[in-house]
Amino acid sequence: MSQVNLLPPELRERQAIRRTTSLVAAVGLAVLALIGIFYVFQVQRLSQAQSDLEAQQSRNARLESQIASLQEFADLQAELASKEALVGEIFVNEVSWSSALLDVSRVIPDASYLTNLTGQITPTVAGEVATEPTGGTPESTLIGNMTFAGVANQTETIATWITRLEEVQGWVNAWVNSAQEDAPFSRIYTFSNGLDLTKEAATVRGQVAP
Amino acid sequence: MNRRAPIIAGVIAALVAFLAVFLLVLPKMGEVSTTNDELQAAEDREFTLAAQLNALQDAQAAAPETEQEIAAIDAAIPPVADLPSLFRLLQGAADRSAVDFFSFTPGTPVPNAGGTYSSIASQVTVSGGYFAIDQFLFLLETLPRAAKVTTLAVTPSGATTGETTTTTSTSNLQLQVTVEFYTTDLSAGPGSIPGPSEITGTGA
Repeated sequence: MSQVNLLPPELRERQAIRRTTSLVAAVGLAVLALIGIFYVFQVQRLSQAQSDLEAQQSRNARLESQIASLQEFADLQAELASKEALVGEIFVNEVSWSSALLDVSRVIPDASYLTNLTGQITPTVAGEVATEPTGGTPESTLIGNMTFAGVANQTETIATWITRLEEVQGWVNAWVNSAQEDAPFSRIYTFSNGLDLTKEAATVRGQVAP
Repeated sequence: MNRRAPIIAGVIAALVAFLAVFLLVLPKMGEVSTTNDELQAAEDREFTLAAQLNALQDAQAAAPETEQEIAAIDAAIPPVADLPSLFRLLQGAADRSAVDFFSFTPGTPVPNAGGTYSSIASQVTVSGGYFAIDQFLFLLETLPRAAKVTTLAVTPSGATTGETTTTTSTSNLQLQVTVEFYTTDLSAGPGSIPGPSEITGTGA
């Protein structure tokens, strides 16, 4: 059975427009409602974030206050560091001459004796780099030297002496400056020689860079 | 009713939504983002501060040792030249190593280039046996006062440095050393301003 709408077409059209308008308005209101909900959500997030920030800033302020109360210990540490740097600068390239004399007594051959022994370390100025042989390493940096004068029976004794000198850690470039026989065929030689000291010959505190 | 009514309603709704988003939602989102950034920065700072606090608490725990180390360094490099104590230390070292303390010539204190300390280059001469002077050198190296031997010469007693002697047998040797002592007083020695330099911050 078919239905017959007896309303005039203008009325039907008006109803359709009203429905469409209502629908559009409803959708608009729904979108606005969603925007409102999202806005409220953002407000809550902001409130939470501000609350967290205030709490965090309060914790930080407490820590800063604790740090300020302990500042004297930081100053103490800084004072120690500065004094240690001073000690490092003072003792740079220090050689233990007592150890050096012991080493001499260990390596000197029986058939010889010394009449003179000298040693010196190269004066260093802050920031100045000590002599380093061409192609050398920091360990081979020369920091001083030693010289010897003595008397030896046979040239072989002198050869043994300079060989043994090179066996001591940090003693390098052992060199004989002169070896002269005291009298013809006496085989007793007066000699003078020297060597260079490298960074390895320095004491532990003397090896620390300032 | 106007046929354009739905279109007008849609435009109005879109306009209101657009204004709501741009005037309310987006600024609020920006505020949230800024606050979160500030919060993150504050949290990062807390880590830094906590690490700093831990370091300071460690420094506080180590303060007695630190003070002892500073006192030891102050004794090694005193704020004044303090020659009397130097004399006593050298005489004590000579006595303990059984050498004869022959001469002591302290040089005029010279400030270093950095202006942090003065060095007193001194000549010390002692005489004794080989191992006695070795012991004296060891005691010199381990004095409570910082000392660095820069040159030394060991000769048979009676000979002067650089002079070759023909002595063949002697147990008595002479040791001449140049030894540097130090003070943080930058104006020390004859003609200087009495007392420690003010930059040391410590009293004599």
